[in-house]
Amino acid sequence: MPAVDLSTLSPEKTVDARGMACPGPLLEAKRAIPGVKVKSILEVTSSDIGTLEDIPLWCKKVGHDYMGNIEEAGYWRVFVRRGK
Amino acid sequence: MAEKISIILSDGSVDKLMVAATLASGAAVMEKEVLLFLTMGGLLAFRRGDWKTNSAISPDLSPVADAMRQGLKGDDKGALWLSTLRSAKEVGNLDIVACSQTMDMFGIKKDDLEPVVDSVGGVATYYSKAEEGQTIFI
Repeated sequence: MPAVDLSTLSPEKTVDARGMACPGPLLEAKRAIPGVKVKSILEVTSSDIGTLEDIPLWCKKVGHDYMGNIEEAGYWRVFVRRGK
Repeated sequence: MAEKISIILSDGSVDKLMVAATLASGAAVMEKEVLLFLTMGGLLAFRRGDWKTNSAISPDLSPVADAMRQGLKGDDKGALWLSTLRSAKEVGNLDIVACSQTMDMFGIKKDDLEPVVDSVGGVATYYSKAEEGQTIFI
């Protein structure tokens, strides 16, 4: 169980990266993150399963908080809190 | 100071271009300082407009070349590697350098190359920019 109920989060911005292969969703996340305020939430939707590994690693590397993901039909909603 | 990574691309087949673009863009997203050095076939693939007709698949993949070409059909996926590199430059620090030796050999000028290429340099430029970073050869 995640500490936060992800379904209650209100992302400041959502980017739809469904249909994109690696590294598309990661590039979209990187491009979008400056558009949300520090401590606010970015949601990335992706149908690429690699995103579930890549986004947390990217967050760890560059200083954002990976909050988790929700699986939908054929894609995932991935939540990132901007850290810097 | 940012970590450095350099990628030497010496092959112009679409599968190698995709590998190079994916590694370069991933490194840029991870906030590394990225050098993509284009030489030989890797540089020829960056001649302006070449991506429109380039459907070369490397010999390693020849048994599945048809499947790969099929997978790349539709949208603008034939040039996905080029748009990936453009995106990487927008979001991170990616420097694309063309090998001057290959330019001389084939009579190519900077203006003949896709605008995504930043500059032309020789082997000393490569070592100077790549210094202390990890290198990937493709």
